[in-house]
Amino acid sequence: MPNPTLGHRALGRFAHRSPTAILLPVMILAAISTPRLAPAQAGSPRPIVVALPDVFPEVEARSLIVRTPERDMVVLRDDGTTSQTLLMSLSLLETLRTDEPRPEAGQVIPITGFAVRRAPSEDKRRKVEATLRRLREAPPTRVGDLGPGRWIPLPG
Amino acid sequence: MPWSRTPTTLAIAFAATLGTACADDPSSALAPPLGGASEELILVLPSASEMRAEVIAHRVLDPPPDKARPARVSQDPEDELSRPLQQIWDPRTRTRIEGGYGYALGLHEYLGNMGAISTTVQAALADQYLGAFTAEKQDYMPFLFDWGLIKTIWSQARVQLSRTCGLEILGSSEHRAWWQWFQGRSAPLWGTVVRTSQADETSQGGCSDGATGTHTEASEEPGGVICYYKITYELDTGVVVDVELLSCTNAGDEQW
Repeated sequence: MPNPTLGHRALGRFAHRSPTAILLPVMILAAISTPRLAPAQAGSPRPIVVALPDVFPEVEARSLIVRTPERDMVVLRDDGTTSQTLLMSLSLLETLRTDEPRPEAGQVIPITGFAVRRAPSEDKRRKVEATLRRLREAPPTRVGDLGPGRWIPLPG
Repeated sequence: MPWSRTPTTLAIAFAATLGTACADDPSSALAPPLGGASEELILVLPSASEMRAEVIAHRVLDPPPDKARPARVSQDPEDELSRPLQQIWDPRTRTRIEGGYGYALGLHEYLGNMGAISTTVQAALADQYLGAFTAEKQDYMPFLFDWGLIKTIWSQARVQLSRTCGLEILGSSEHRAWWQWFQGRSAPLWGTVVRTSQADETSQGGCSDGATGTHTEASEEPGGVICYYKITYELDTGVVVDVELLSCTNAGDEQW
């Protein structure tokens, strides 16, 4: 049979403890039970890479988006890429990120075509053109299975 | 007594700090820091041939066609005599937009123990090409069991249209029929007939004024329509495991 006097005494001891001693176990439990957040949820943006391979894969696409658990990548064609191509690719990437923040497998998304109904602001266009210039001036290296090419990181 | 609690309190504080740090750690494995652009980028991709739409089309074959029907009997003896041993009847392609998809359905009837059809659906906006997807099918009847049956073959290609308006859907098919002794690349074949058909254009409509074509109203982000398809592959081998349909969606935050 439970002893109400003992329970009352125990409660009394607990009540006399300092607030720190009460709060700390709560903090521990909260810290342990907090799930590890995906970078996007945790506020640390996933990196984006813009790549320009010397030879674009033989795929009918104006650009490619490649998504892996580590990063997202926009692969551009060396010929005919404009600021609109990069902007529209990044716009689609944003939509894909909203739907699936961090894919568990690899994804290749060929962009077969787009039509611009609303042009970006002049300021935005200039910034993207500067990015494209920086990409073309990047040192030549190897872009994984895409072969030789150039790449630069963008802020996520 | 304060000192009697100190070791416990310190241990608790240490554990709490450790636990919080682990929870907040961006888990460097998830997002490894990128090096300089001069470094080689590690990236495994499927081969280009695996990523091509025409190869992918083979993976989205339609269900089996209708059962073969008995040979068509002609009322005209002369027509019966002059008819070649292979024939394609009524090749056609139809397009429609329904339930968020644009469809192109190709169909024909044929005589021959081999029949094939390749149907392409194409999305466009104000005559600007956006993307196409092809579905193919081939049917085989053993030559000795064919007995001149008239058979039907069809294939359907589709494109997903989400949050879009004003798109045009076009469809076309290539219809084929021939005779072949047996299946195989080296098998002798004869009497090949090829026909093509084109569907009338179907328009999605539903746009507010000014949203059907290109215009240059300046904004921070561009807006428009973008068409793409998604290939999922294994990261370590590059083997393709899934391919989604061609999809056209609204890009940017523009409200129509």
